[in-house]
Amino acid sequence: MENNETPPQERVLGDDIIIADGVKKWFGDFQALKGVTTTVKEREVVVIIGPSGSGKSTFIRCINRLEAHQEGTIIVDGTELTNDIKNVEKIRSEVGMVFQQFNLFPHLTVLDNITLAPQWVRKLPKAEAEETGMELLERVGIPEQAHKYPGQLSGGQQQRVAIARSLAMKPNIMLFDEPTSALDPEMIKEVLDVMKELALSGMTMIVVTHEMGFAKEVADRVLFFDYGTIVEDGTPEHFFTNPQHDRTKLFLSQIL
Amino acid sequence: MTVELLDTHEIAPEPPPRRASLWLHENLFSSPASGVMSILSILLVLFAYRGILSFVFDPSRRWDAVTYNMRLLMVQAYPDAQFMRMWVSVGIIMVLLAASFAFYRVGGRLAPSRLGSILISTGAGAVLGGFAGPWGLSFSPFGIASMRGFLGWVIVGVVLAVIGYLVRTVPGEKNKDKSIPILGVVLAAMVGILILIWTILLPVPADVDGVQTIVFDPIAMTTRIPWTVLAIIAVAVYWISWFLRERMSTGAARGMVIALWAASFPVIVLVILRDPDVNYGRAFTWYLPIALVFIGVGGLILNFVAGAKGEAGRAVAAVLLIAALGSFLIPMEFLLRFLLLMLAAFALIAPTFGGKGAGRWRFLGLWAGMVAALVYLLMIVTAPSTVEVPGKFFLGGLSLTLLLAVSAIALSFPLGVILALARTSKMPIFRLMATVYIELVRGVPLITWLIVGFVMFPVLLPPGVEVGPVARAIGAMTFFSAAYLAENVRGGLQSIPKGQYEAAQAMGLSTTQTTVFITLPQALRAVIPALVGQVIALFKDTSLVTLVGLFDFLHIARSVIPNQTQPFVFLGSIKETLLFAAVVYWMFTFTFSRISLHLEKKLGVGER
Repeated sequence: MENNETPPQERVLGDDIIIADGVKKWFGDFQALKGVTTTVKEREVVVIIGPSGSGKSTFIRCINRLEAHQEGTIIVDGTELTNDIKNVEKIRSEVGMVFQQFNLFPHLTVLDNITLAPQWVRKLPKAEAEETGMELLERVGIPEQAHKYPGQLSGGQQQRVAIARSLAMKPNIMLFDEPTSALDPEMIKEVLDVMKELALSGMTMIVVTHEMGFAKEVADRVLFFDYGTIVEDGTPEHFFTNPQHDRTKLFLSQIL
Repeated sequence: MTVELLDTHEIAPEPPPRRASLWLHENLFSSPASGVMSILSILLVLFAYRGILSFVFDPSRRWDAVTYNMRLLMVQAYPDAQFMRMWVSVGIIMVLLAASFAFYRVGGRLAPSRLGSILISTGAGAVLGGFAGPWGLSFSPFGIASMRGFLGWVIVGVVLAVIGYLVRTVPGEKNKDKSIPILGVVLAAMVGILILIWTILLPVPADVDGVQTIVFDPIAMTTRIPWTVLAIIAVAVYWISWFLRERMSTGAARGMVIALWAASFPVIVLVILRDPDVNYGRAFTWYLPIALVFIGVGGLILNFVAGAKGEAGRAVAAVLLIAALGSFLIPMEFLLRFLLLMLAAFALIAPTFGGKGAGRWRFLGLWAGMVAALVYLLMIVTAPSTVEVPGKFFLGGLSLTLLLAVSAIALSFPLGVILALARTSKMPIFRLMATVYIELVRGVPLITWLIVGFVMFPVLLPPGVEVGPVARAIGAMTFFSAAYLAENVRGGLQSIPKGQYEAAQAMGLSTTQTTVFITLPQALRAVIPALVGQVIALFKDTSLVTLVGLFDFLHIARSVIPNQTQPFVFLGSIKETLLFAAVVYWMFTFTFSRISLHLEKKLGVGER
């Protein structure tokens, strides 16, 4: 963990880096997103919460086009997401994503998991990629696991490797899709600590999570999703102490 | 606050109950029904054992048909004058095996108790053989001849069992966890086999006063000496590799071994055994300039394509592909067509795998190596062979069987993988083509494709081009086996979780890169058992080539030897030769299946 004492509130937000306007998405006849409009600024940490099936995961998966939205526009770092594969590959190499199930590559060692994309997408020489990879493993606190296989690691360690793997591409934006939901309670903290450090270092982050503590402590903004739309949008303080919408109040009363 | 914790270390673990009666009760006689089944099964096994022994040791068996014709079975009529080439080939394989054993650290360790158990059960089997064999007590209990057989088996069995017992108990309780390296056991077995080779007497036919009889002779010097020399070389190479292993990087050493294995097969078959008579004048005026031009100009083009910005590279690759396909429409040397096609293929993958800096040089090095290999291959294949044999082909017997099997397996693997990828592709035209191919080829028996290869394929070839019978058989088997392999690989591809694709995509890997680095390696691991099953099936299916007139191992065992009348008469010895052929086929396939089990364990199939 870096010794960075700057509280999150003092991070200076930059220009808009993600602009979503009226994003709609259907799975067959089921409408998962019913016109989501929001913007995320550089260095902003946005936490998305909401009940399951509310479209929060679908929304962040649309941001790097793991799902294709059907209506509306999404502009990431000045590039609009369209069917043009060149645009999609450009955005994907700038947007990191961490999954609930880690999705590490089981046949590659931890270090190879991290250096694969820098070598073949960024075309870095192997030695340079491995140097960066080891630095990132230091940063997430598990350099000694570099030559093990993912199956030999605990869930928390695997998720930290997954974060390091995304960071190896030097992304401008990091998306987290319920990063702690598949973890044992005692391992959640080690992953959240890494994410906090990342937030403090100025990374733009969108985090789908059920960890309210993380939202209160780290987030600049909280979005509450339900039925495929943003129901409530505000600072954590506003969200947890003074929610406007009845649906939000009900949700909070059930989980707090 | 203190809690009285029970110190679990104070309670010493008791040994589990290990009584013979308990084992019998649990495993054989747990209920009256299972007791009856056990007794019946044991009787059945004994009956079969007795049947096999009676067959093998029947004095009327003509095992001299096998021993006398061993060379025919292995290499058919490979000429005496060039037989050194055969030994050199075997030597190369043994040297590579020894080096692979050292660099891959093959062979674990064996607990003495396990080795002891193996020896005791082998000994028990031999003692049982003494009783169950045709010389056994129930036949003619006190006849002199049968007494000798009976005593021999019992004595060997008892000696083995005693050695096994000593191996188990002598190390004592203190050393019972110390293990013996398996390779030590292998070395001991090799020494045992060598002693056997130098001492054993085998039945061979002899002409005594115009009457054919069987005499017992030692193995010929021309067999004993080469095998002894090769065994010594193999052990020496193992120790040298062991020594080198500590002094070079594992990756480099293993890469070298794999490259040598890949190169060894074509070199052995096409250069050493076939001994092509290369026309060096043409080699320097035609083949060498072509190779240099393609390496130089092709390399420049590939360098441009790999580094080109935007679509320029892909456009050049597309033009090259069209030119390469177009070359098939105009009369031209086959070599040039192949080289153009390969250049187009390299250009297509250059933007993805071309790399930068050292990676680019590696890519261009690969290109140069492939061009050199292809040109050299075509040069030696078109040169006439100096090996003069009476039949169609310079190899026969087991060597032909192995040539067919290894070539067809090696060639059908890449084709099968490409078909599987095409069948799971997002592009409907690829899916359709692959599906039609697979269903068409699988739906027709292999023998039909072999006959098609022999009767119809030559008609389709342009005049002046000839493809030999063995190459046609390899082609038919390759295309047939690829269809099956494709379905196996497809099964593996479907077992890859969606999350793996998503993670790869999220990092910006292209579809090709995702396939090569992420999904295909995992898919192949997942279907190792099915792939090995296909390899075993193909190995056995090589025996079908007898129907198109090739003299493979089974054909010689089944048709050639039992019809021999010169210089000795072996008419009707088919029972012996077929059993021998079966044992040899089994030894190979059993080895494949063991390797497959080992690979599965090593690569952790079934655990994610």
